Amino acid sequence: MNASTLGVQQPGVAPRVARFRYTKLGKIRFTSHRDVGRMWERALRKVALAVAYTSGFSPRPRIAFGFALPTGAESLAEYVDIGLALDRSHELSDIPSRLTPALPEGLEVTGGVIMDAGSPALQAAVTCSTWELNPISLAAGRPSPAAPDRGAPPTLAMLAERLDQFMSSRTFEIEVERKGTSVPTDIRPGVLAAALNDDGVITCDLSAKGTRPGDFLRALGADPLEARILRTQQWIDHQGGRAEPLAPGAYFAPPGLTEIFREEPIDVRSEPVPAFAAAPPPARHAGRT
Amino acid sequence: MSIWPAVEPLLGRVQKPARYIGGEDGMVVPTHSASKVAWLLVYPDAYEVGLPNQGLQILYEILNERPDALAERAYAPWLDMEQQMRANGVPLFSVDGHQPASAFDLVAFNLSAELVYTNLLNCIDLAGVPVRSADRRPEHPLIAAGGHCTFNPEPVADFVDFFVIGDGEEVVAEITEVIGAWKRSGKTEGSREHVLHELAKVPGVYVPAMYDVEYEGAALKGVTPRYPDVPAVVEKRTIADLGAWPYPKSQLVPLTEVVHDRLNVEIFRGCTRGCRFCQAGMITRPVRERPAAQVRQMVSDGLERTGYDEVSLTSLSSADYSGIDDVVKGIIDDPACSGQVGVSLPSLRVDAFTVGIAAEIQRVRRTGLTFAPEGGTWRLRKVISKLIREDDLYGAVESAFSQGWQRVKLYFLIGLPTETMEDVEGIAELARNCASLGRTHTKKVSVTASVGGFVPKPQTPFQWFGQDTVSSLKSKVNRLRDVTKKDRGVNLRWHDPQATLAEGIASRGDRRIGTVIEDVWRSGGTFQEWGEFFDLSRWEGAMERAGLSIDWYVHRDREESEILPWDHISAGLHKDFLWGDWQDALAEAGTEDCRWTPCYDCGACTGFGIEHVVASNIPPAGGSQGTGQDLSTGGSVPVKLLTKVGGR
Repeated sequence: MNASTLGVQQPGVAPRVARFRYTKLGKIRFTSHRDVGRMWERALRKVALAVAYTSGFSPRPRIAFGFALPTGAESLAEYVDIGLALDRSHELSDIPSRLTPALPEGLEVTGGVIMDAGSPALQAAVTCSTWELNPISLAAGRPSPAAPDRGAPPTLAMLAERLDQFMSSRTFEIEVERKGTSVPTDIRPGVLAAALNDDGVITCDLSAKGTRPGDFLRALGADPLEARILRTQQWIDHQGGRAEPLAPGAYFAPPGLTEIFREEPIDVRSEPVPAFAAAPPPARHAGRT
Repeated sequence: MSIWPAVEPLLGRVQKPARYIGGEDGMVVPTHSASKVAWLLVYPDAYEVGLPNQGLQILYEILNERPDALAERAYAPWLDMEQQMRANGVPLFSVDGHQPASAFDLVAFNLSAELVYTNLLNCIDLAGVPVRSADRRPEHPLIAAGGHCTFNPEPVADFVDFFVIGDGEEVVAEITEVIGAWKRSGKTEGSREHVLHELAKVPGVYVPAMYDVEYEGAALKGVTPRYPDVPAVVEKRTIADLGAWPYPKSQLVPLTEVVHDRLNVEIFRGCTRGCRFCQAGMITRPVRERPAAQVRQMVSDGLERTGYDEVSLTSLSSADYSGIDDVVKGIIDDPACSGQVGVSLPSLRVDAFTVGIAAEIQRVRRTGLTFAPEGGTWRLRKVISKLIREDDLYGAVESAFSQGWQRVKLYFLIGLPTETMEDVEGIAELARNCASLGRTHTKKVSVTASVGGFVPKPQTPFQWFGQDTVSSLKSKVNRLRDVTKKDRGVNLRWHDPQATLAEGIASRGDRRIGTVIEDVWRSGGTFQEWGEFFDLSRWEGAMERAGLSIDWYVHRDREESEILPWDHISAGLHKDFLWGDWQDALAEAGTEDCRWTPCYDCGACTGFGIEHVVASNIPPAGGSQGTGQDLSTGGSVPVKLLTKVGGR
């Protein structure tokens, strides 16, 4: 990489973007979305990937993330798009395995593809995420030591009842913090599906720009600060159903290039998934959709 | 045992929880065992301020490399986290293995600013240790402190079991051996006194409990050892050769944003400019440069390992490194650095040559340049021995604006010895003239004059000087505001004169000031370095309750014969040298940079049998200030101080 090629398209070469899927698990969940951005910038320099830079006075690497994961939440399915400076995709096959050691513990690259640069950006394409919310795991049924005044977290039966109530309502208005002020907001439309299992884990699909997992938990009478929040999937609309952002056909792939990349072991979730209705796992209380 | 399960539930309830998780690249999670002396290294300020501290990181690595020691780190928890910790019975913990402070044999603090003293007490308390040394028992970890503030340890002498004076690289080994023997002996009842006595025999270690303090009325009569084998004067430790200590080798890369978030490579320690207000320059002598080849190696290894795209070449005056231009060009032209690496030099010297280097290294991002003339007139700059002529400054600024910079920041001190309102107004004039120079190059010129109140520091020629009052400092700031009001492109910023006063109380205090610090802490006065939490009334009230006079401690000129609270601590500088330099200051005579001129026997080299170590015998071009010589083109000068030349 040298300064003269940064941010400059090579004539005759179609611009490419690498899309990676990665995890955010463990202690590192307490870092912010911006922190993760800096971790990626350092990691890309460490593995010397030929990253495209923005032009201008203060060039920045062309990196675009999906919707921010709330600080404190974990994820099995985060995504990042990275502009490539050169058509050196043939050198990229070992990049996922080299990136993981270059990233801090808890961030693990679990897949990647090469796309044409014209593919829709993550923030435009992703429509919803699947979450696992565990409102009692940290408190383990006791009054929270961190907030003794809040009393005991909800029991399983209480959660089940409130979830039924929520899912059978047409609207559900709560106060939601937006830029520092509380605004009454109907969060029901943003909850596409939800189910509770015997361990007290709520599996739910929340629309990308709609309801946030913390707000959903509060609507159920649970304290989001006491809950484990895990994003397990992100989805884009695809051929009348939905697919994960790495699934074949979910992006514009340059001919002959993705195959090289797909020789890497890619998580099963990169396979096309069935349409929405079949997606939620078996559960005691199936929500309405 | 890790207390992470107790820490984790608190983190959802605090701002910036990443402060408490560790996980930095370069972190070590050592295994505790009976055969290892466990050090908890604490920077008593917020994580984002403390993490980059190089001194702490150097000792962290050196200790973890030893088979008989381990080290973890802790930082002062922010107020919200402290509240959660106290409410839930969570003690001060390490961020590496999340071990409670009680799992360590000693808790060692880095004290680099006096206003953190109340945080020191807070951290000791959070560690579950009585804040006063006298109340501690064998099961409590020893409380240690190092860093620049320890050159007057007395204000915190009642709270710290032992201090390390000077460079820590070598002495931590000797301390580990003494504490290891104590640990093996089972830390029995009454053994604490014994281990402290043994520590007091280690050169560079000061154990306040081994000394009697006598007063005569308000005046200090003396600080004398209670045992014949305890030194009357504790001499600082100095490593002779920085090249033998290429640390940190694995600089910590934080997961969240911190100050100085970049690779830092220390290129030399010590400074011989002789600026009389500068405690760091006085107490870290002599100059010890790192060999150029080692600097380049540390830079290229560090960039490759960390993924940073910026490196700072740190020292007290980095443009004074002999051969700085070769080192800088070497970094920029190194193909491994991909032409994308930014190099920054803190403490830019004020001259056009330096700006030339800056232009070389800031090809991409030319945001702002900072210079520190410190005084508004040539007369005052002779008093403080910061021998920058107006032509030097204007040359530097002209060079900066002509090469594309639009913002220049100038640092000044007010409240300096002999200062008049004319000197204060000189600040405005310099800033105004710099802005006019800028306007010939750019319309968007911005010159910021940043003004701080001067606090006289121990072990400097100004240690006898009575600090300026809050009201006088305020009137000087007000005058500057008035006279710069109509100047286009000139911005004025100033430091709170009230914080200057509190710093003055803590800087030159004796052991009686400990009561005041404890009082301020008990009234809730932590994070006093942070404007939003600083409250002078806590300090004034505590002084009054202790029956101590602010005027006597802060604003009074000291006599030559007076016994100073830090006279039993030595940075090597002869007291008569410092007094002579103080008299020269009052006579408006500057002192030359002794690296390139004959030795004037300050005591720092001769006392320890060491010498300046420079990487090249060619002084840096343009380094004329203080030498009285024309070094504008570089060239050899007769220097007899050079013992080592070139790389190792």
